[in-house]
Amino acid sequence: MILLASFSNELEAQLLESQLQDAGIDFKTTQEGTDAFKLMVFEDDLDLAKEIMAARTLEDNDFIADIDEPNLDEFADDAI
Amino acid sequence: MIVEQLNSSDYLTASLPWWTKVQEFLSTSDFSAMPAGRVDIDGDDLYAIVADDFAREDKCYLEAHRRYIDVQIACEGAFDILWKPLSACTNERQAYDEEKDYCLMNDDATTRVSVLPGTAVILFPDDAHAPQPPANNVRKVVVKAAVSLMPRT
Repeated sequence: MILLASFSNELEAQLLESQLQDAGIDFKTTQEGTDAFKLMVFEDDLDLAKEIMAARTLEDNDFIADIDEPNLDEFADDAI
Repeated sequence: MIVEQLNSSDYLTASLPWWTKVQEFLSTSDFSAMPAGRVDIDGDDLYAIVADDFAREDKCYLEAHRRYIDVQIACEGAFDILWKPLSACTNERQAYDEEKDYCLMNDDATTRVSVLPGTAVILFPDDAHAPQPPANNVRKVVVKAAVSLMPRT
């Protein structure tokens, strides 16, 4: 197995774990120290696992892009 | 398991019908510039996986394949492979999965081989093997050759 990704946050590691699991990719997670979570996959699954990670990043960016800039003028004091 | 120098692999060329294609692939590829991932040499019958691995505290279990022969090569850095004959393994960790083409064993290995640049380690279905995390970062190539490419005996 080779290293796919490292996370300092356990929740992030768990999120990727569940996505790999859904895709039928076997993985192993190790914890080094108190805050280093490392996910390993078999070499043959590396491409698919990376695609899943990349899609996740895109989804995150899409989510951020979907948030409209607040129109602060709506809250402007009508009296001014 | 066969351990062989890449620059003196005449015996491999003579005994493995697909080795010439592997040699050509290895000699014409710039692995330091290649992105990690799969590279087809001859479709699903013969392909390579370029991968980076990093130092970590971890132990990988013995694995074995039925449909593919593995060729493990270190391009930069080095790593160890643990080995034991599959026929001598008695402690199965995960049964053979046809789709994923591997089984896992809990057995302790009997042999440790260091894979240095310029060395190829060829692992057949009889070979339970466990590439270990490197002591330092490594760029490796794993060539997967379909067992069906071997001459029938």
